[in-house]
Amino acid sequence: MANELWQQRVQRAQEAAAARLGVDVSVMRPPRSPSAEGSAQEGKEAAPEPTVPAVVTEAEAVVEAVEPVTQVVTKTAPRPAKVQTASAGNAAADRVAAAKARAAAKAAANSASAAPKPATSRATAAKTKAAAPAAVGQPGMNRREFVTYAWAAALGLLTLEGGLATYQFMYPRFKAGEFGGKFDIGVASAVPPTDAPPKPAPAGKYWLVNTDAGPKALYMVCTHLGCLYKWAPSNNRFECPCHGSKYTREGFYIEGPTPRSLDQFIVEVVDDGNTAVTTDSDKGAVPPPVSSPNAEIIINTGKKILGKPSSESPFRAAG
Amino acid sequence: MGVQQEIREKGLLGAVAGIGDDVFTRVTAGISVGEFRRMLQGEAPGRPNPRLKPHSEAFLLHIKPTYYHESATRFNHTFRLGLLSTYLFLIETITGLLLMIWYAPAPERAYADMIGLLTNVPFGQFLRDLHRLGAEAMVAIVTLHMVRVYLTGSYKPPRQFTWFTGVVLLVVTLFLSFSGYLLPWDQLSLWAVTIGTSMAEAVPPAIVGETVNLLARGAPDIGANGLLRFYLLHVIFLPLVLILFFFVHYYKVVHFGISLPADEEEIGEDTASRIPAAKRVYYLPDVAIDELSFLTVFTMITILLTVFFFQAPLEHIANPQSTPLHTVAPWYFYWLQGMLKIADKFIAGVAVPGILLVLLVAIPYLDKNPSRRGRDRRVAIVSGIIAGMVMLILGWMGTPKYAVQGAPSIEIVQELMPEEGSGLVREIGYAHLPLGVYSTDDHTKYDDPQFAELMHEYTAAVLHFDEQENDFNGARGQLTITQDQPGLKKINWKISWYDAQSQKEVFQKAFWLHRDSFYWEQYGLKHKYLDYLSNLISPKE
Amino acid sequence: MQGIFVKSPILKIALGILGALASIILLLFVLRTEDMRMADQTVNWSARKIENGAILFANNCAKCHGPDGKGQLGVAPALNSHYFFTKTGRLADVGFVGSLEDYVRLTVAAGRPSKANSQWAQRMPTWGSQFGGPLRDDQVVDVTKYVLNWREDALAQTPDEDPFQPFQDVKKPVGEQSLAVLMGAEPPPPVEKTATEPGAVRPPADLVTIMGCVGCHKLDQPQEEANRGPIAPNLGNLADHAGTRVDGLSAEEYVYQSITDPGAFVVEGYNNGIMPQDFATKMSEEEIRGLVDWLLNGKR
Repeated sequence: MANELWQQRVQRAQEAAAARLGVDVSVMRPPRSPSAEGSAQEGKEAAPEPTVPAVVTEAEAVVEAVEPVTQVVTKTAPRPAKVQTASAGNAAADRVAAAKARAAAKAAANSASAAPKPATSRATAAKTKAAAPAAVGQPGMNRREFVTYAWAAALGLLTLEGGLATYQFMYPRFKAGEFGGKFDIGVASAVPPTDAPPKPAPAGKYWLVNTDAGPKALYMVCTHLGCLYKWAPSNNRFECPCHGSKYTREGFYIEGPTPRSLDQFIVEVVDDGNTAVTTDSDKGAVPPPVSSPNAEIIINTGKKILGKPSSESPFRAAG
Repeated sequence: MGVQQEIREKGLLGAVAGIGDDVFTRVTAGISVGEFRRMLQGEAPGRPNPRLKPHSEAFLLHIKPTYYHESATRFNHTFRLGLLSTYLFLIETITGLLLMIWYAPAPERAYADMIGLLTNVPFGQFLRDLHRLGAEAMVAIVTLHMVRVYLTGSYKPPRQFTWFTGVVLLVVTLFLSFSGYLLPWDQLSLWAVTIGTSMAEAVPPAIVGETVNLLARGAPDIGANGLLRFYLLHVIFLPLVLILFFFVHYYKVVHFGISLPADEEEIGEDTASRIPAAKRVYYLPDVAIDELSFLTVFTMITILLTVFFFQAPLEHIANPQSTPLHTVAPWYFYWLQGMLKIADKFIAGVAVPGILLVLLVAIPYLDKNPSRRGRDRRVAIVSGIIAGMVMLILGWMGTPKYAVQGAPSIEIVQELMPEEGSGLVREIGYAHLPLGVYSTDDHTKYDDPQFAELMHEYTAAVLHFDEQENDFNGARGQLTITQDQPGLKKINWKISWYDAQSQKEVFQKAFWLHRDSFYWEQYGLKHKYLDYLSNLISPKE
Repeated sequence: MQGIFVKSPILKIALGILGALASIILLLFVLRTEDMRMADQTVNWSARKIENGAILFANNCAKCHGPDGKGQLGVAPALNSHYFFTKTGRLADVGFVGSLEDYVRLTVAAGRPSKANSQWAQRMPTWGSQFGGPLRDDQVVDVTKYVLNWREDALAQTPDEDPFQPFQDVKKPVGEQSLAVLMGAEPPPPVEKTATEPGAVRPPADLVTIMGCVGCHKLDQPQEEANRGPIAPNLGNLADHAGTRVDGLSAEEYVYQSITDPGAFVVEGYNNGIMPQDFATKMSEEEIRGLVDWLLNGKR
């Protein structure tokens, strides 16, 4: 919605700005093709390639003028000496000019105590000192680089810690009574006798089997490919309907394609503060002994002991 | 060169280093290891400047300007509020995504999920508190950012559209915060959002308002449908809108450049693409270090506040049958609640906020002052300050203390032991409430200093209302504390007074307090954490 | 003002390191204390459930079960009772196989709508919303937690302090009868002799409790205009007007009819159908006559 008055106001503003900065008013106009902004910037940067002396002159002129913004000066001033463009001929002259510029910059920095931004010069002096000791490209590390690496390491540690916290946060939580949690099945006298058939507990996904050595909780999932095996009372053993794996009442492998005997959950027997748990051994999981009929039996469906390989099963069918 | 030849020429280590350098340069889109180290050391770049390459060749930095004007990089120019707003949005997104793992938006499990987060998930309380604090901080920071832009006149041409997208972002931020408010499904959530959507109902014509209200709630009252819709708004729809507008906003910011101090930039002056070499501060590494350092310090402060000084509230479960006393809007809507107390819901809820929004958007088009300097903009700045004061006053009016006071007896009890929240009695705790019958008429000295303080406050409140109200005279407050069950005390308040016609009136209310329950205020030191700290330092068996 | 805004990059980086390290330490602190905090919070929110339950109990349950949970004779059983909390007590008597918490929760939710063959005269209302009651599921759980919180006090009671009311005539639930009986293959086990066999006459003073009269009728309060019994007429001054209620019926006949056929005449202002209709089957003729005399006796 351009209108004359507005355009005139803008033009007056641009002229005033140009006069203040001492540049041509065309500098104040936006570039013609706004999309070429990034490349325009780079173009300006790349442009100095054939015009290294121009940059030097500009830098020198700026230094000579003792601009308050000395920090940028120290960045651009020493550069001309290190330029890797094909301006070797200017190298010597550049270095001299650069040395002059650097000295002037230092003088400017040191004498700029009355400069409007004293903090800048102090920092600049620190920076120059920091930059000066190590020449470019040499393997020596200066303080700033080291400190940056230390910071990166700290941030990396923080990220790692964040990752750990996220992992802890995300990990599933199991409630008592939910599969993955603990199931309290009552006192030991509630466990069926050692000759009774296995008792299924669908909520906890285990078969409760009482053996002479103690109670076992066999995971209901077949160790072959994940089907739920069944109890075959006529054969007094577990049989899986999917591929025919068979296990004894206590979970040992008999025959079938499965690679190992049945997995068991850890059974905890809590009697008056003492807890006995299922332990693992070469021959398979050893159930905890039941110390008294009043001991509480808890099945921990969050912790599983894998069955031993089928080849080691003492009950494996011959042949 | 082939790898074999490289190994021959430089030895194995040299070849590996060369390959490493090559990979590094590709990953950083143009910065070799040597250049990277020089950058960190504070050396000036070579010519052509390879540090510009990530901006033009890589995606992540393509929107960031390669260099800034030196004046724009000073902290007290922008206070980096825009950067902070973006960072807060990032924090909210990450914490929000994580919280979604343990929350489902259904009324029958939302509240239980919140309790699950607090009791059964490691870092659950931390992430929830961080999410809430981040949300409130984001609203505050975004507003401050707007205030800063207003005061520096940075909305003036050519940046009018940037301002417009910024106002849109502010509105979306407020809606994001408001939609998230409902998700815990407690009393605070339900009633604050009921009030908010009822205001939407007031939009004329009636058919529009009612439709908007129904669409938002999914049902006449807020229930399962409303919760789900607000959830969808909160996690997907509003964030998408915000990201979209943020892209536009930031593109415009980079295109025109961050506005310089008014003394250095005239309106229409192109300060983005014509920065003299002497005034350039490059993004890599200088501004990047500025930004990263600022954000790291801010992160530390935020984590510190979240752990020790902030707790996201969780009141009783949402009860559609009962509105608790002193229902408050979130603090950034206090101004709205204040207006609603003095005007009807159309004017206060729709008309005025609507006009306010239109005015905000129109500021760049109404303000024809060509100068951005403060001394030339006295009218703008003064009117801005006045607007701010009006918002603050309205905000104060939105707090429960103004104009929604009930009967004095109710207010006395609500002050000391509110229906929702903590209050002095619960802060003192179970252990400091001795059994017995106490009266504000007694002048006994109580042994327990905390209980003495409670009785003192009780007496003071009773006297205060006695003096103030005509209808409340000769008042006497009684407090009976009995052991109701093991670990559970019953706290019975009984206030008797004579009204203006000298009729005796009595008010009774009973609360219970359990030994193991504890209540924290939203803002304040979490004392238990000090206990944990001392427990860690000197563990007790 | 300028001094606090850091310019040197080394200082900025140092601040960054400080920020990162402090954040790490804070997060480690949280990590370390999470178990403690979660335990405290679990206890906190369980305690709050009890607090909520206390309010609900006081508003809904206390008027029958008593504010201290000690029950009222003939109205509602004691909850704060040693007998209630032991496995050999209430649960065994009603034959409930689940936990006490399940029992309480189910009772609160479903109420006790049926009053046939029961010693508790009043029905317990249904509270759970799934059965049409006024409480949500979480509120039912809150009340349950409150009731169970009496455990410590209850288990500490001596038999003298225990306010439980003994169950009378508890019949074994059907499930305990064997399958064979149900199938008709075996005769049912002989019914235990109840007290209504000839010769065993229960005194009237016991009958008013056993039959649950005291649940609705106040025996010690007179029935007056200013003092009408809320559910059923007070019987304190029954002798004064029993003879004048219905034309043609003497006081004894009136009281007899009121016990055996309550629907025949209902005092004005009260509802029909509340007084149980089956007292004639539950008491022997001799017991009823004894009760009539006792009720009309001014000196009881």
